[in-house]
Amino acid sequence: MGDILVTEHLSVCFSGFWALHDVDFSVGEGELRVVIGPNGAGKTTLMDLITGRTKPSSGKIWFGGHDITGKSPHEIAAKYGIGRKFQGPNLFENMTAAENLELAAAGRGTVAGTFLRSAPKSAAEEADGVLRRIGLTGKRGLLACELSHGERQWLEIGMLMMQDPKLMILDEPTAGMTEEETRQTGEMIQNLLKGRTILVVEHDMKFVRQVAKTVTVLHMGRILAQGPLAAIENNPEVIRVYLKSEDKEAPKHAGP
Amino acid sequence: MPFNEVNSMDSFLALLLNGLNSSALILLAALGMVIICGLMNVINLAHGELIMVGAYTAFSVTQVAGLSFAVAVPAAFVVSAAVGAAMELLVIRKLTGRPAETMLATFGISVVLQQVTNLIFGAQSQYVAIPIEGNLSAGRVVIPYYNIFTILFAAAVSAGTVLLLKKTRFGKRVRAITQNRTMAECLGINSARIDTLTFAFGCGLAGMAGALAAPVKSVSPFMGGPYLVSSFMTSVVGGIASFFGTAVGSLLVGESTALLGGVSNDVFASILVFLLIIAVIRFKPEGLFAKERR
Amino acid sequence: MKKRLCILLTCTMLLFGLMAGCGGRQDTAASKPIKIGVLYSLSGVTSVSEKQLYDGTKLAIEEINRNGGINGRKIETVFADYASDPARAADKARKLVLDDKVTAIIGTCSSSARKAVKPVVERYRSLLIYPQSYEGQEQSKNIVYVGCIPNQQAEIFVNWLLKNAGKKFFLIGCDFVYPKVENKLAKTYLQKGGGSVVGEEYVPYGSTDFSSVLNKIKTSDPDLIYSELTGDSNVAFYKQYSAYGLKAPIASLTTNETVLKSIGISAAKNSYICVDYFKNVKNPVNRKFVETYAQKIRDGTEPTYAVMGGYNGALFLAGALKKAKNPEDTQQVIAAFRGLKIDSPSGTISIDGGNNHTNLYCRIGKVDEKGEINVIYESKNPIAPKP
Repeated sequence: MGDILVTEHLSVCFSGFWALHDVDFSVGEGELRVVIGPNGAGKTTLMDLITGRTKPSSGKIWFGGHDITGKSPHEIAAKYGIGRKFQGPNLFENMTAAENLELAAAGRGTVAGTFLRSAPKSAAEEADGVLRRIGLTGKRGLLACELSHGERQWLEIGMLMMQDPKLMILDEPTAGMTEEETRQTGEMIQNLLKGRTILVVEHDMKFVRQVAKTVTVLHMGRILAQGPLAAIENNPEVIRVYLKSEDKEAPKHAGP
Repeated sequence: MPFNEVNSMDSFLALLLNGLNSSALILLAALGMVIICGLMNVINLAHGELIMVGAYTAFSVTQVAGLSFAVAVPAAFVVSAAVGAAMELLVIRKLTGRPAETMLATFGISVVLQQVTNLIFGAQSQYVAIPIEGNLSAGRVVIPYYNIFTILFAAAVSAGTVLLLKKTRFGKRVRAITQNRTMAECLGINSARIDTLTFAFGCGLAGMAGALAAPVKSVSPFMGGPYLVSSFMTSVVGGIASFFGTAVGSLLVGESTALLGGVSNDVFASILVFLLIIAVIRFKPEGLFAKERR
Repeated sequence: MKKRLCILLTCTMLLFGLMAGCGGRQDTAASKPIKIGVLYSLSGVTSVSEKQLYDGTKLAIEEINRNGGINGRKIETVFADYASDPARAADKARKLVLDDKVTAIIGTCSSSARKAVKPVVERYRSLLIYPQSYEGQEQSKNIVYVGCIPNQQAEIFVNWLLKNAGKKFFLIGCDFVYPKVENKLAKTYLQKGGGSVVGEEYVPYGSTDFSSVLNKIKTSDPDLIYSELTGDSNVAFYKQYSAYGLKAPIASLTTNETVLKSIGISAAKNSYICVDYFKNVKNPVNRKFVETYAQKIRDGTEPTYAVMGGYNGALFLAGALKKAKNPEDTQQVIAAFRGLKIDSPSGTISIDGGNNHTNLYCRIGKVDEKGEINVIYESKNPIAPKP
């Protein structure tokens, strides 16, 4: 499997400050990549550039062989199938569970969307199917804000299933979660989203260890290091810049 | 204090029914404002002029082109919606998140619309024939058929708008963007296009209000001002984003003006109604039926 | 000898030069145009009425200039637009008087505009010809008022209505000074004539919602509606009144041919109007005037009493300019108005020297099935104004 996402000399400057500088970043199809780094390293900025929320100052972004540099967010979401979940609840609070699911498929209604995936059944029918799988058929008419905490998380997962993106970007998915919830999220990512390409931005190293195979470390707008989890954890630069402050436990494979 | 008695149940009923007609026109005019100001958070000071555009469309369609009023109303919707779409594309969207500049820009547009209309049609009032003549009378209670039509039309349009927003795909996307724009975009919803369509829809509603008012009010380039004021008042009283609230608000404003006017006089009534509205804003600034806003 | 010849030649040349110079100045003085300021609004709330005043003024001045002007001198107009803003009216008036040095100004429409210009013409000792009908209650040495005022309408109209339409009057107007003055006057004549007031309502200026008023009218069952409504309110009232199927005729002191067009025949027919001029006034001067109007002003409008006010104002001014020895001396022109009489399309009318208002005929019109105003009563003589 080749690389589905590639950035070339990607840079963006905000009022003289280079948030990202000459970043050559690539993710393989079907890979689960974790991006870590200190605050202000440019992790969220990189995600913003990929999803089109911010336009780069220079460089290119390729997805599935298409040049998506500078395209609008909704086009990148609908036409190219890149999805993104932010911190905090990713639900439309004042809409019903069924409506939330229908909206998650909004981007797939486009003709281009049909090309990239199989022809969709009506959004409502599919939503019904997903409701059954996540066990919320009886609560389809309830507003999202009226659901219990667990039901809301299942609804988010259901929306992910409806959206069916080719690349899913998860922005600090375990922020504010308990250890148990963090572990469950890790399981969900590994099971439900198997086969899809996932990009996770995270701070919680326990979670990172649970899910990551390859890790990219960003620091001051550049890629500091990239490689298998073990190598990263033993990389002295990484340890100096980031891991010391993040991790109370000593790494498992501490080098000499 | 200038007070006179309302002599009987008949008179009271008559006042109530007439207030209903005023409320219907107020509601139609305010619906567009609920969408534009309540849903999109845009303060459009040209709202009255979009009503005026609708009225002039009705004039052009019925008096100049000689077509029936039934054509005039949808035509008014289309023309005002088109003007609104142009406004949104050229001006409004460039000023997102800047309410002061938006107000200034829309005020400028309102002046331009007034003057262009003045240039094309002249400043004198134009005649639009009333499409349904005659009235229903029972004792002291008289209600013109056209008033009944206006009330039914306003109710239908309100119901239609609510259905549009609640049940249709378009409506759900509008609500999604209102609640969480970023997430909606990440799901592939073209928020820019939906914005234009929503704004145009609100303006189209205003145009229809103008068309319905044209046969019983006067059609002149400067007619828009009072409608802007009453639309704002009604929306604010009812809760700016709530359709139910606006319906109740228009009922309150229309009926209280009619009833107070019947009991005393219109000038006194206007003053009282304004004071009541100020009281509502003072004690419940979010309106009587505000939706919970996050 | 040569020297004396030179001196003689030089003196003769100087003399000729002087004479030529004097003669030349006299020539240019005789053909120099007389500057008159014209102050109206092309935009804003009063621009509808002001267009009518302006049309009348324009027509009159063109006619005067075509017929030889003021003793051979043409009238040159300096136009200023004050956009319905009284403050701007005062500024423009000042500019006309001080910078353009006009002899007089014809213009303004609303009372607030006139009141703003009044101190300007009084301070700089200039002259304003005010062409619009208004509420009276004002006088100035520096203003000549050409429009009709309440006492020139109320007495005749009320008494005529008492005789021909009924005794129970419902009074209605917008909430400002003009309707209140008219109604107060009407009530005195009603009392004297044995009529009664069954209702008196004032609506907010510009209001177009008459539902509660119409209810009151229905309840009080009047024989007629006595109205001083103006503008958008006036149009809306006729329409809503008709939609309610109310039968008592409307008697208006303000409606004119242009307003009727916006009201529409079905709502306006069989209603009465009392002003000083209608298009259908029958006399040879008016016949010619209406023809000229149709030829020169081709925008589908008809001559109204406002047009006539602007027209008469210019005619009176021309008369005064002709009478004055030096038409550029405003004080002489002001003095020349005393007793001035003109043959106007609205009859032979004159200025009342005591109060600078105009003696005008009072006419009552009825709107027929075709939307035309038929003149059904005309006072035998002009009525003296009592501001």
